[in-house]
Amino acid sequence: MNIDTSQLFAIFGVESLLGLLGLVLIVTDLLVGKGRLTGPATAVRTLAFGGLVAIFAWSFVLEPGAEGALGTLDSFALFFKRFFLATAVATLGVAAPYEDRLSAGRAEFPTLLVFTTLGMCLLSSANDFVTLFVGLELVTVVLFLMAAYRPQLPRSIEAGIKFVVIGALSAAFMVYGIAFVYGTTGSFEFSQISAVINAQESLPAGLKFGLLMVLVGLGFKLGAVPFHIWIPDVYQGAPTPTTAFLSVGSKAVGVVLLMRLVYTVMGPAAAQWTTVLAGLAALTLLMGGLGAIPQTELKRFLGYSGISHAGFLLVALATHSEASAGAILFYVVTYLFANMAAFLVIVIVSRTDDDNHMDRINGLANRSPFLALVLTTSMLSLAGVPPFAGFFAKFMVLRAAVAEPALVWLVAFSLLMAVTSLYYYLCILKRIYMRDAVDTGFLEISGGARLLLLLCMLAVFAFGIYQQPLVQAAEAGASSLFR
Amino acid sequence: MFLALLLLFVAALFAIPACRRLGRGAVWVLPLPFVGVAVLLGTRLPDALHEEGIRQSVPWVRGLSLDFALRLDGLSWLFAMLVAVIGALVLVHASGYFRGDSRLLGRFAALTSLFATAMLGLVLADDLFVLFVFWELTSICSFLLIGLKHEHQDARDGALRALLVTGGGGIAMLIGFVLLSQAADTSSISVLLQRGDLIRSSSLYVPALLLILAGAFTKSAQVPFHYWLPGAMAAPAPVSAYLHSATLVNAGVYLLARLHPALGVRPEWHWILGHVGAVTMLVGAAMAFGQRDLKRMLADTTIAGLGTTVLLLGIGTATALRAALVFVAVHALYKAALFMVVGILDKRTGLRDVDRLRGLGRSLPLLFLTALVAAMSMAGLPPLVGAIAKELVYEAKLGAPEAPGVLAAVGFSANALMVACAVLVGLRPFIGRGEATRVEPAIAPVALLLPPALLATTGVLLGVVHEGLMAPLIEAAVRVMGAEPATAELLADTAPTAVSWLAKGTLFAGVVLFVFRSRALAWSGVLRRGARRGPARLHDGMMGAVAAVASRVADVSTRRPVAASVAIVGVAVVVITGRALVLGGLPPFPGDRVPAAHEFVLVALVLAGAASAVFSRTPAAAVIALGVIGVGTGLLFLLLGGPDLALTQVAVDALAVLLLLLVLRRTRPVLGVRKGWLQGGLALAVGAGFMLLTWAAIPDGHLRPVSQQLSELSWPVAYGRNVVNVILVDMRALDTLGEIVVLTAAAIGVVALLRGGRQEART
Repeated sequence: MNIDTSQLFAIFGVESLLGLLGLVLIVTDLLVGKGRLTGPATAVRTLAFGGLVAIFAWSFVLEPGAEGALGTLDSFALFFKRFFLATAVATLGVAAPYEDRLSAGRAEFPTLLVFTTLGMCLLSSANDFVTLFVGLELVTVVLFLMAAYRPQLPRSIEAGIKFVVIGALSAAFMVYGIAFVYGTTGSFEFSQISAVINAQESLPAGLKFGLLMVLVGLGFKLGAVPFHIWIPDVYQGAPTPTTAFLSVGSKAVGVVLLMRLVYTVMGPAAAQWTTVLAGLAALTLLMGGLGAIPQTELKRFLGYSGISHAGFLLVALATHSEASAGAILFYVVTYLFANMAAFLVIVIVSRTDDDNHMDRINGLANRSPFLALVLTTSMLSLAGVPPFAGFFAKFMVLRAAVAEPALVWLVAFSLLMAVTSLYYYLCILKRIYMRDAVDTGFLEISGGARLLLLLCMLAVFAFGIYQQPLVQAAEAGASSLFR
Repeated sequence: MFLALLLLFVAALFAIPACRRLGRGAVWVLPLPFVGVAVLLGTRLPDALHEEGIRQSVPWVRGLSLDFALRLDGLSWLFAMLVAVIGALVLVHASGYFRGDSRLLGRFAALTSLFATAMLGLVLADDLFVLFVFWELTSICSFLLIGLKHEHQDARDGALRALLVTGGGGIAMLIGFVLLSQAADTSSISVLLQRGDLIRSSSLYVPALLLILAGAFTKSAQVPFHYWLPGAMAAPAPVSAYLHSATLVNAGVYLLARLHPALGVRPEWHWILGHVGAVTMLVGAAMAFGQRDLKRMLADTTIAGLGTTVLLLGIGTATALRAALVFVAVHALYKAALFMVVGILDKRTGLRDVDRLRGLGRSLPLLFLTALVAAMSMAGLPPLVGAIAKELVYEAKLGAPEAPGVLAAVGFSANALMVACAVLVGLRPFIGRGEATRVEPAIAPVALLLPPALLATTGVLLGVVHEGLMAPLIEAAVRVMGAEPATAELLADTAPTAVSWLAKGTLFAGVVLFVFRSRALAWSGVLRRGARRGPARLHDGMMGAVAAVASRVADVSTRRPVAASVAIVGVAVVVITGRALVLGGLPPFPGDRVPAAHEFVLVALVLAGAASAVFSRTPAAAVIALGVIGVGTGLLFLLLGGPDLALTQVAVDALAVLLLLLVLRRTRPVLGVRKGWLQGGLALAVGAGFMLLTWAAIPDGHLRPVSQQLSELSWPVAYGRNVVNVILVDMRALDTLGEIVVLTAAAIGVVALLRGGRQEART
């Protein structure tokens, strides 16, 4: 097979640079301060941060348009590459105050993060099932390790094992499905498969089966019920920075691939999937809406909150329109900022002993008005309350869904669940403002953390008031899927 | 108008530093933005009263064709002015109330300014969705304001309940707005108001109306959503004076008034608003009469007042609309003043109990005067403006197209109760001897007393010169609401005798009620308690039920052993795919080739491997049994003509078994999977499901022999005979590169994990 390297770089430029960065990080770790814990960690972290920011900045120079056999760089892919790079940068920010709780592997954490990000960027360009699977493997395998990153904690090990077993299971389903798709269409490429699908009146059983199995595998990434089953335990057990990365990055991977699958591979034929997707959406909304209420652990709580958001994303996916695709892109960005801020606050309030019971945020308004403000903004945005960005995201999703008469019941149901979820986010606010602090220790917030929190809060606020630029970017990204 | 919003918003940003810097001098600075807004509104009054008023708009989100549009007309001017004027007075009052705690004052001022921004935006919005955004913002600000200072668990629950009810109502309203904008094909309020006929003939009218009413009724504390308002009385007095008299609670009323030309006039509107308003009016007044806590009593009379307004909007005649607007303004003036008075009483004596406060008139004469004037307005005594409002309300009720008698009777009872309450608030604590209530010796700061005094004086002023000051504004507002007032004057020179008799009778009945209060209370105890507690109980019960269901639901995915999770996923996959495939019926079993005997033997081997993996007692035995399955499968591949595939399968399997055994040697885990009938049955069902699915999926003739094509290509393209190898290193070399990256990353992670483990062992 002939490979044109310059074309390859045009598509996978970000990935190549990330790979290079990863290698540089490994070498740095080896060269700087052998055997000591903090020296190499600081070097690697700084380098990783600088590298990721540089690549993120460089991604804005890139022009969409390159396309090849293994991947494509349309504006959709570019949108998500930027998204994943930003997620990685934010995760490093969440990890920085957490680092001294790690007894080992401090230098490896940023390295692993860079490699997963590489996988995620690869996935956003995938237009071929093999690229898709390789990228997914990279992301998933590394995330398994990052979830079990504190082997001295039984909870962390449990999280890792649970994650591996269920992750492997769903990956197995997916490969099985890909084999069937390949068998019935003779191709791995999305465009060719789509051509086969839309050439026929009704899909052959083998193809239907294969595609549904792929859907199942991706449902696992997204956290759709009943494939959400790993989320609460893994979110709770994994180190908080990993959880933050999982909650945004891994979910977005599910979003990217589902969007490619539904909008590009299935194309118009996706109308056949409306029932399946709407059913999954309803179940997911129900689980996310109710499951969070009895939680008393912050990360578990955010896990369920994430499930509920997956439900809204599924509502948008079930709505097969360009407007809903744009809404999804807008949605994930708002979710990124609100979630990262919440996780960073969690890291700060559970500073010494990694105890994430909800008591930790009691009376936060008196202990640190700044953190209280950030967490309030983030919770209200997640709850979908105006004028924060999260409201607008939900608004766009539902506005697109209302246009589809078959989905009116789903819209009504999702609003009902929105009221329910409002309840539990408000319970968090109640803890912040109306409870007396359990822990009255001094909350140390480093300058970097303060900056990141401020940035997230401003983004949540700014995109709630002036959405125009983000809406534009989201629409451009979405429309490239439909070409 | 943008300037006004901006002014208040900037004030919110700078309030905290201003309080920190200026200390006590902040009292001069904090109200300035509000005064500025009031002046701005004043200068725009002539334009606002002209026709449709002033409209301004900037594009907001182009992709969604949303405009940030504002509109200032008679109706919004009235409500906006209340926001600005009472806001300024409340800030003055608060700087006395929070004296000595500039931090608290700073937060209060910041939140109040932010709230005022939201409230002003709400009444100025000319787009449904802009209105909604401000609507929810007012709810959040009110929650934060209530949370400023909190005492008991009860108060916290009240605050949460308040936000939940109004927030939930807001979401319902949002759907209503979406439906309304679909029916009218626009979300611009100005355009929408002209398309009333289109909306009323739409099939979406009823659902849209019900949902929007849910929003308005929750916000304006109508029965059965009224229970959040007394709960919100945990707020500091200045908060209540602002939010619960003139602004927040009026939002629902404003929305109804605003949308009257679009939604009004259909019988559903009259029926719902009329009934809900009348019931709320009566329930609120009865609850108020039974209260001992003065602040809660005021909250309950606010409920009654809001009910009156909703009822008037429901009647919908020009007279009723006019009465409603006058009543809103009058109510805001006296209620804000009374909330402040009660706040001062509370602060000076530590008491809010109407049965224990006595004889304060001598030590607090100015406060007494203020309270008395405000209460007189509440009772509707001439020459105060309250009297005008009351006569207008009676006139509207008597002029109602349906059941004027019933309305007048209900109104009479409610008003009599209100008069009694007015006496209880404005007179009772200040007269008599009783056990002397201790008053803190310090003289009340001017800042504390001036605002309620000003409000009370305004009541007198408006009562005397109402025609000149109020009539043009009210007339313009009523016109915007789609009605044509018969006369320009507020009050006809000769009020109908029925009206004036009713007004006088109310006063008399109110005084009688006050005198025989204890007896009346004894009679009606159960009823009042039911009205006060019932819905709140229901609310808490519902939330309890939701929580119970929720913990059940969460259990499904909480702390399950891994095996259970696997079972759930397996079943789900079979159900999802099975639904799509098996519904069409299974294809016939592929019968063209009878399997050979040795194939049966291999299948039996695989099955035996699976069975012994399940039933083996030690992990090591289970792993070896898994190896048997792998070898058996490999042999099947070999026999079916794939030697290279078989080779790969066996190699990978052997490696996996070895690795697992090595791990087992060091960790010695216990087999924790339960083996009961349920587990076995589920496993078999999922396995059988998959077999069926594969059977259903394979034989429909679409399978292309890819393997053949690949093996044909393998030699000419890559000069390799092992097809698997050729695929790996040549045909899909880049994917292999990807796999190598996966391995590298995994290796790094494993190293980190091992180090962590070793560190642990050392410490």
